[in-house]
Amino acid sequence: IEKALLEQTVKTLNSYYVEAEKVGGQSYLEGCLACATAYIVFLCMETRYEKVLKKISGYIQEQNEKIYAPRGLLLTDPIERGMRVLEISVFEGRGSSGSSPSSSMSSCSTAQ
Amino acid sequence: MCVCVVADEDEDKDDDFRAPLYKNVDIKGIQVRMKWCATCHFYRPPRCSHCSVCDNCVEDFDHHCPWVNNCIGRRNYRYFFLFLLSLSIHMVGVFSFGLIFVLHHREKLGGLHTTVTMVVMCIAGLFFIPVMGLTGFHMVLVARGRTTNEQVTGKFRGGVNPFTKGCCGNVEYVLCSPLAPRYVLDPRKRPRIKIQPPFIRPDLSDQQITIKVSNNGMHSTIINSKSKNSIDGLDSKETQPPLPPKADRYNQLKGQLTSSEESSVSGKTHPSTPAMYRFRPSFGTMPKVHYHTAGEKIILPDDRKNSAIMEEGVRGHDYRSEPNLDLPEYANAPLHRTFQSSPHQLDFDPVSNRALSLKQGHRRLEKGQLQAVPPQSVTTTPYKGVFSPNTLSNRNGSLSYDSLLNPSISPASANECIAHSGMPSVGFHSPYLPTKMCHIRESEIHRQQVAQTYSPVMPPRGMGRQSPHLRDREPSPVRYDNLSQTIMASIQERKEMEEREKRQMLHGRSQTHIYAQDSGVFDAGYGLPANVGFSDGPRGPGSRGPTPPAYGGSRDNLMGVGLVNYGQRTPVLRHTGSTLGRAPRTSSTSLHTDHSSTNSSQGRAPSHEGSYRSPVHKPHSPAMPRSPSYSHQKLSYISAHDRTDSPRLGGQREAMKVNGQMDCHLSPSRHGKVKKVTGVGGTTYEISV
Repeated sequence: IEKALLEQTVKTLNSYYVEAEKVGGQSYLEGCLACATAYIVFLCMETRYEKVLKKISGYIQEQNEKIYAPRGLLLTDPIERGMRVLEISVFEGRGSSGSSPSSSMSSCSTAQ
Repeated sequence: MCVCVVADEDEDKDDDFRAPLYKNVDIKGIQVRMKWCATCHFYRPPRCSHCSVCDNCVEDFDHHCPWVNNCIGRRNYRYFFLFLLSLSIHMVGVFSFGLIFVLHHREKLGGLHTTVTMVVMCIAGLFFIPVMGLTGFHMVLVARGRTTNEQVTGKFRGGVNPFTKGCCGNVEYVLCSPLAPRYVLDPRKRPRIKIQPPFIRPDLSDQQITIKVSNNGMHSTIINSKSKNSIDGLDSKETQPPLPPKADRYNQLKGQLTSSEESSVSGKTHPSTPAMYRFRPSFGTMPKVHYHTAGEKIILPDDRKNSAIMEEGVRGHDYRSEPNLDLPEYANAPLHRTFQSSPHQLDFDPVSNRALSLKQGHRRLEKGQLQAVPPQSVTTTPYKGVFSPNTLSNRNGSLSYDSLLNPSISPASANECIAHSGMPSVGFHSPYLPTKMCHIRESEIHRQQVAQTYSPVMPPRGMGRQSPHLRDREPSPVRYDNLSQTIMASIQERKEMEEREKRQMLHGRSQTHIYAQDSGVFDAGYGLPANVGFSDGPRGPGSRGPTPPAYGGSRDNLMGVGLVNYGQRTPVLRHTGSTLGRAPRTSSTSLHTDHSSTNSSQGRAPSHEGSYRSPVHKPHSPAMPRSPSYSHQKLSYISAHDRTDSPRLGGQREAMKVNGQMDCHLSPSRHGKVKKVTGVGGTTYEISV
């Protein structure tokens, strides 16, 4: 796959994660509300982080369908791998597929 | 943004078994080293640590709290901190209200209520001190943006904390950051995506496209991919049991010759991470970088196949099984069999290699297989070595790291050694080497090979081998399992240089330090400060798996076993190998220049054993000129060994010793560009200077 495409995908993912982890007013209010309600509120609504994660998975799926599948690749959501790696599976066409995790720097960088 | 992890090679040299123990990551300009966790099978993210009580890695590990009987990490630190605060406030409140009550009923001190209140006050007052102390401590931590682990291990004593956001930012982060969900989720149904065979492939201008793939150790999902030349060469991982993470790899689509790679590598300040190696498309580098990889690289130009075989033998596993199969055929399967001639020898190469790499830390791998592999590789190498000096060089690269590798690896390395030395000596030495002798031979061979590879390939490189070993050992137990040839070459060079420096500097250090340093260095575990590798429980070098304890005890094992691990992957050697791996590496590197294959092997072994071997080395005359010729000649093992070893060993030992002290060797080990700050028993943080 072209390097540019992959880079762009990773960059977008990174930006999503940055957004998810942004410390802001909304996250603070969510925390306070949760604390005040003894965290029962978590049964009803999902946190901002989870919202962003959903967005990310949607994005990845879309990327997979549009860009990676035609090239025989498949991106796996990092969250499924514990936010450690960005996994790219290579379709071998022989029934075997290899997957190689790419660096997990993206998650690290976002976390940091 | 880069998909690849920028990993410094120098740390990964000592990869134990197909997985570099450390992988560097750059955070805000500061190099942070990620350690491979054997239990959890991945590279721990920064600030992550393995908790022995909970037996898993915890992100942003703070500590394990006995009061709540749980680990405090990223997601619950906030609540823990708030708990401490509220508890302190509560205690203060209880105490003060009790005091008011007692004072109010001063006249009835003997009354029931008053007495009870006084008792409660006493208890509150008693527990007030430690709780307040802890609360205050954590308040300081929050303000500084550190975890308890980091504070205790003194990681940031130098004052450089890459994770801090400033005082206010830290407080804000602790209290107001969004709560991340759990990572352990129910497996959801993944969206199905259709994949059609006709794939669009981007044009490759030239095969020189380099793709770095870094594994974070997700070998579970890794499957060996057969496509070699495909760009996708994302490389399959081995289908075998999860392997230790493969070091980053550089896939060179085009046969960049090793020379080019080497040159480029050498040009770099730091060679790619241990995992990185460039493999030729034909090989389809495997994520698992074996130490041989470096060797491979060199070979490629000459003859892929041949080299592949050689390498395959050693590295084998990563590459496709096909090349392995081919190569081992010629290889002298019979030859090596001292280790364990496995029926699958040739076939195993690819598999075994994998297995070897997998093995690193995976107990599940079949030992037999793994071991089989190494022997095969060894055997193959000898044959190959004959015909291509390059291969030898490759081997050397791998060999240098072999010493660090576990015994399992050692067979592979041994193979390499053999290959390098290209001498039949290996052949004969392997068959009749008793287990005890094996290691000696191995070391010799290894050294020889190491030396050999360099000599034929590049004379200056030969020295490099040693340096990397020395270097690697010192800073950390990192090992390269799957280093590609190119990487190996670069590493070797670096090592040589370092080794030279070290030898000069470290002359006179006791060897024992080496072990100590190994243990201490590689721990990323927080909570195990100053536990010199002996305690590795959670920390044992990932690749090594069983080896961690070996550091401390490896010596003993080594002695007992008397096997040179690096070459062979015998199960016995495994644990010894780890320790040996370390030591032998250094020795081997130094030795490799010597070329005496036998000597090298010996040289290596002695180095590890340190005390054990030292007497052996001593007799060697330093005067031995290291020339490839030696390697090829059938030198008596011991004699050759002596020659090469003696001068080197001294140097190596010192180098190894240096390793013992984390701080010391770390800085020298690095190219000197970065300053390594190591905490006590903690992870090493490199700060570029």
